[in-house]
Amino acid sequence: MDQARLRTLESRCIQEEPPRCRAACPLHVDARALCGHVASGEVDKAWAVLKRHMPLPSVLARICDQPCRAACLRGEAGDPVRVGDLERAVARNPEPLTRTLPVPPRQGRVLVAGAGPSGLTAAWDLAKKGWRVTVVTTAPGPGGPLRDLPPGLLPPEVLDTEIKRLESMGVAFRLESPANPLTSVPEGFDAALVALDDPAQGMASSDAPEPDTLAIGEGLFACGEPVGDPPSWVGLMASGRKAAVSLDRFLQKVSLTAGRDREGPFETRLFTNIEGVEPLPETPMADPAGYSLDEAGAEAARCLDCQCLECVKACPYLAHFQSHPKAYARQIYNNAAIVKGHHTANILINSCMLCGLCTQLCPENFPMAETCLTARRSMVARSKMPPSAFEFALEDMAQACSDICFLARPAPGPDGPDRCDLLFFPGCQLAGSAPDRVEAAYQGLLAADGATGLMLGCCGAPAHWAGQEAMFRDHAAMLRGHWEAMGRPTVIPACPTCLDTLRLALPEAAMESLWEYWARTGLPRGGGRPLPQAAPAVLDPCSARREPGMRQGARAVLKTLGVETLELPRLTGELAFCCGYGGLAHNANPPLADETARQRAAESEADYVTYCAMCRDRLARVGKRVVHVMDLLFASPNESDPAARPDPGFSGRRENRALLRARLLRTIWKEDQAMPDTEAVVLRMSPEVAALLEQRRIMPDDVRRAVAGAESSGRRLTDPATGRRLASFKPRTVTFWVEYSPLEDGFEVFNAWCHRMEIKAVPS
Amino acid sequence: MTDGAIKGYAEADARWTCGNCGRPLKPGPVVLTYLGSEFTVELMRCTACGLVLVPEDLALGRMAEVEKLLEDK
Amino acid sequence: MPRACSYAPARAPLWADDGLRRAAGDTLRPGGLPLTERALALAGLRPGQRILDLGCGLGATVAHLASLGYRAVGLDATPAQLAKRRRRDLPLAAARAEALPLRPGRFHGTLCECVLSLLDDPGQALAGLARVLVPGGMLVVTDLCRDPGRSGHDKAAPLPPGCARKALNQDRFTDLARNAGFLPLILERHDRLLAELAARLILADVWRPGAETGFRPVPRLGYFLFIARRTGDDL
Repeated sequence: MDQARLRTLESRCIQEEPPRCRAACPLHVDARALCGHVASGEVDKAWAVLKRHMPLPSVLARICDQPCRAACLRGEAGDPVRVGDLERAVARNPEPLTRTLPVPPRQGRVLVAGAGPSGLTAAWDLAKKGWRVTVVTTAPGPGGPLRDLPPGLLPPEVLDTEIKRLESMGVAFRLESPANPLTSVPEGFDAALVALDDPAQGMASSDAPEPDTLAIGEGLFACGEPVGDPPSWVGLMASGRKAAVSLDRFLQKVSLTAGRDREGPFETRLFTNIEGVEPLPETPMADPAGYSLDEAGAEAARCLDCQCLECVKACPYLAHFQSHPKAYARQIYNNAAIVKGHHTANILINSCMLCGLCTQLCPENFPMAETCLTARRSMVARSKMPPSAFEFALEDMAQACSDICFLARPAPGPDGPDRCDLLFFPGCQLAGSAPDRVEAAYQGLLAADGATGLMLGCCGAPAHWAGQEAMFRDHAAMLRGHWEAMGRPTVIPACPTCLDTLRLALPEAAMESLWEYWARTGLPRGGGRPLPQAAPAVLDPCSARREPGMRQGARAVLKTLGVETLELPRLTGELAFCCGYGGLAHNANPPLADETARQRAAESEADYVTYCAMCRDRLARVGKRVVHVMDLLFASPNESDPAARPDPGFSGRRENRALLRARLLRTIWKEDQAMPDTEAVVLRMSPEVAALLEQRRIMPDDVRRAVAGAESSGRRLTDPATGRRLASFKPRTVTFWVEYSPLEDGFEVFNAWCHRMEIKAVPS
Repeated sequence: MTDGAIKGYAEADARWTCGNCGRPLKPGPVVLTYLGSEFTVELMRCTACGLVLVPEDLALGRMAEVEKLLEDK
Repeated sequence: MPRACSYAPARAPLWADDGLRRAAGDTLRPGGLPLTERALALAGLRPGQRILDLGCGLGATVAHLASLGYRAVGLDATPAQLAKRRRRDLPLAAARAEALPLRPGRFHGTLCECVLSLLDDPGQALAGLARVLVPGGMLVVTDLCRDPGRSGHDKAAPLPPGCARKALNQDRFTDLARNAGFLPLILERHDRLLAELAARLILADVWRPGAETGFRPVPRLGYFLFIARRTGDDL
């Protein structure tokens, strides 16, 4: 990703856009931060906010006419915040002393004719940059129309203090009797400014200053044209600031116009959701002179603290890293740009569920999933992907496509081996989670259309999500081979993720989800179909986000079954959020994925019904009562509560896939198969040990081979005291250790662990 | 620590003997490697058969931490 | 530590602690003696030439260089460390980097390994080193460097105490060297060596990285090798 693309990407996240108040302020004072500090009673910090952007802060804070108030979003939920009164309340407290670093003086002299608010502001800004400024006015002295303000509003000593401050910044004041109006840069100066808001400078108005730069001649500028009636003080000062920018650039001989499009007030792109915000009226003022600090605090507390964060509010992954997509995009870009160094954004890139919810919610459709997936692909291409991020999931995919689990057959019987109208693709997770249901579903499909083939295997989603483009392409080619051999049938996936992924792998294939198919053609006969006691809530899987047809189909099936359902109150349908399986999040970041499942489970007290096997299993894992639509179709009355069926776990899924294949080959294609559970090596273990192995992702197959290898080769460790043995086995990249004892008919397993570090050599 | 000897075994690991030849295991330096980096750690091993014991708490503890660190995970 | 500093650890890593660093000598430096030898080779410094090891600690590097034929002397600010040295015959003395008690133009090379990042004023030390080098002499530095966290949070968050707080950004360091009268020649990053050192400390059970506290873009530590030649024009 190059810099230009990064900038475009970053600009789509509006979280760092200023709130309306700040955008509407001609000086872009951070009123949101001001409100935050005033609400917390931090007067010094509030002062600091004012000083950061305001020229002559103790003057402006007292007289500011607050154009921000008209823009304030609180105005759409009550009264807008009285920012001006907050400023005044702060200004009545002593200004905290801050050390200003001396600015190195520069060779450039500016004459400012007129010491009204715009002229003083220009002098302030230019002096801060080191330019040598002389301000000319007439008796009684600097201030212009500021001197005419009532002392209750602007005490003269406050103005004098600011003038003195200007002098200490190096600004020289000269009193002259009214001179001829300035028409060119006078002798002894390099640039000049006519500040029209001080009548003393002699010019009533100026001939059309250039609107973008306020230039009226070479090196000559004019500011302080009154705006509004009565003239806006902050507007006048902003005019002086604008002129100062032009003067500064003129003196440095750089472009007067580049990059000035957001200098004045502008429309912010920040979006803030105020749904559910309680309208609040403004805080009353006991003393008409102004707010007390307490009252100011209460008024400031009404500030909505405008943020966007629409995506962060909805997604535990985005919230977990305590920032927002714009910052994440930068971090991901930097991660990719590092050639030698630390890639600390790997976990950020690999934990995204790639579900697209954020993109849906974002007012600008920020493409977080696309950003992370592209980054993963790049890491894989440059061999920077940490091996442990997705390896287990990829091994799982390989197992689902291995000889003992994979199957691609046209329907048996008189329709012949070549003809196949339809191809049922249940998906490897459904096969692993509920093999009985897959069998029943296929039988049902066959009964309706005898030319329905079956493909048991993985659609390739793990390779796609892991950024393994080459692996995905090869896998897709393999699937295509079978599909073509079966006569290019219409594919019927049961799983929304399979549908999504098969569309990528087999773009030319006709496809209809199982749910739409059944909704259209009628349900198969089921096993007694016990209905749920209370109406469950429909859990849309995140991959059904862009499939309204599938979502309707599933609901239609439920309705036909006579199951009454509820809808989740939020984040459902198009806004469905992931259970933690998407993007292989449960592999790269198990705690975050579990937290996501928990939040999903907590959306409603009701039981859930879903049509994705992983959603079902992942929610069952965190203790939620959840059924798959297949359970409602095919469960028999004497089955124990399907909603309480636990997650079978990784080892369970692998065994189920193998079992399913063998059973279907026997019962449907009438081919004799040795059942996988008559393996030579029989393992026994307590439920605690089984749970431990599951948690450590140590599969029984690897345990069997470790034990078998140790027994046949004799290479093992022994504990003479207990008779236990310790086997070590490295089938691929991980080394497994198994502590076991031989039994009469097999082996008892007591413990197992694994690691990736290899023993290179034993120095003799 | 100063002379570089990193102890990867615990006293309890002495319960294991080599199942191949019957000899008790003895601690000694073993080179461990991951992603191109090498580390010498003292582990229990059989000097005759070359079998090395990687105990559970080392594997799941310090080794796992090192693996994560080197992966930049 | 690279990962730790990115995630603001609960406990400061021991190895960055001044005391432990000096006590453990060269085994605790990323890259160890092989990196030192590489650095000297890149600088073109040959046996027989006079080398100053600044921040020599227990003198392990001086001893090693001597065994290779260099005429090496060491200076260290902590007399207590020098007192612990194993070989009494090594030419080591106590001195602070900011005030080197040496005649000008004496050394062909000055070696600063993991010492400049401990100083409040590395610029001053660099100026002193320039003074004691022959014209055209070589400055050899290996040290921690700090990369700013590049994201919306531009202000570098303060590192926990003891965690290489004074480590400089590599560009800033290069500027300091230039200002002290050096012409920068080589800058190599060796962040992997830092990670390997962290890994060794974990295996030795001396240190654990802190728990991840979310994704705060805190400055990351790296390790660099820097070679520069002393030029005639000092500021």
